[in-house]
Amino acid sequence: MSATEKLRSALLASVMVFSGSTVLASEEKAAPAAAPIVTTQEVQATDMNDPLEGGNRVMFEVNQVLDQVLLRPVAVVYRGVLPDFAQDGVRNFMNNLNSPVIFANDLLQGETDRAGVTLARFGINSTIGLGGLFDVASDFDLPYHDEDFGQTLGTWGLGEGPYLYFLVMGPTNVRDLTGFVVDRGLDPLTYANWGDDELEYAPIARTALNVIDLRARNIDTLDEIERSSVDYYASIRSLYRQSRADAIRNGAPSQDLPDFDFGDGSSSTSPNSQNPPAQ
Amino acid sequence: MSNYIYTARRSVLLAAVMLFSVVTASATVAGPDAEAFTQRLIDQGVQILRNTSDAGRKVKFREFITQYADVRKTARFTLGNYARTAAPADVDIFVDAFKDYAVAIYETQLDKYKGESLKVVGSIDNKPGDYIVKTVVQGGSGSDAMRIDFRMSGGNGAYKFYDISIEGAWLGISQQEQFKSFLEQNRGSVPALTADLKARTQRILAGGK
Repeated sequence: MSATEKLRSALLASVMVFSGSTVLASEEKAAPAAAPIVTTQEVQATDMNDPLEGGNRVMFEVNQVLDQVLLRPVAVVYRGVLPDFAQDGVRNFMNNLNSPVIFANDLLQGETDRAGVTLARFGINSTIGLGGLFDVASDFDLPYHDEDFGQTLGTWGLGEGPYLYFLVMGPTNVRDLTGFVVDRGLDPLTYANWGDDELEYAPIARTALNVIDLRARNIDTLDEIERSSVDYYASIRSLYRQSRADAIRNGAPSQDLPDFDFGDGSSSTSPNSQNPPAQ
Repeated sequence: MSNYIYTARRSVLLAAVMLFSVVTASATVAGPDAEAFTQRLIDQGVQILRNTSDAGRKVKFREFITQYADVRKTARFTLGNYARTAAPADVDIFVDAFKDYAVAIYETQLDKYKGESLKVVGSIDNKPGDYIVKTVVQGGSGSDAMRIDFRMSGGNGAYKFYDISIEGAWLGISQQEQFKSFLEQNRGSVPALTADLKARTQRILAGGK
């Protein structure tokens, strides 16, 4: 297989990873105040940036069916059958495999300290952590953080572009989709020669396991969001966009939160002017 | 990859960060007052929710929310421009339905954190009288410290919160997007939204564990 074909296969095989790897990958830890305050396109409450909403909603509905029929049931079984420590092992392993991509993006963002953490984590967890199954590095005060090229583009000042929702891939946008493709190129495993025997399916197995594990971790969260949402599609869109902006800021507070007061005197700005609640 | 070299670099960076934080914190001194108030609020709320044997728990929690949440402010915000164009009576009915909806959501969310606590870790002065108080979830399974922020308005020991974020995603903003979508598909009918909210509140309460 040529390098191009390998990249194409990896891309095809890896496309499912996105559906779980975004807003609800709650393993992401908040970074301390060392994060720079960057100028990115902040999520405005009234600007939904969704010119392709019609098509996106169709994709969303189809994906919901796919999820209900296939992915969610598998994730439920996975969660029920695999012991917690085994599920943690899977997650640790996947995170560790992603280290080269995270490291590259740390450097591209000029975050040399975070790059050092990523490198140290990779070294420690791959060896003492038995190939990444155990997140030993966290015990050495080296917490996990996630980075991808979409976030890198964001820190470079690139706006998110129109919101997109793809079958299988889930929520994304023009910038993050571009970042996703670049990350597949940054991943050294894309270029590994898996041979012609069973190992040939290793990339697909990795993707499938990654997706199932992420889906299993988010079963309850997504169920709740769906149950409480007046518009589930809009919920996911809003949460995705806000979460991505937060990730680009590395958890630093948003500079641009909307004003809840309309200036027409009818919104309360202090407890004293609160209208008495209707009975 | 020597830990020594890494630790030395981290110390230098940490010192630089703290210096930077002190410099900027003095420019944005927010609310130690708001922070203390929020911690008391959290402790009080958690206390109510932890008392699972109390039959009047739901009522107490509702009263608690009503007292400390500026539900009207949040509700009007979620309506967006429709808050100004819709009939005031419809808006009032909506605010009431929204209160029930918000309480149901908060209760089921906070139920998940039963046994854990929230710890105030800082605050930001958004503008005069408007603060963001930052907390993290403590305890519970795993070492992940989930970030939960509260948006508060007020001063002099009297505050109300009007939005909440989890890991950087604000609930009020998300709700406004949803409601705007709904209203656009329903000819701007706030009563239709109110009816949907009421039905949804029942679903949330029925589905809560």
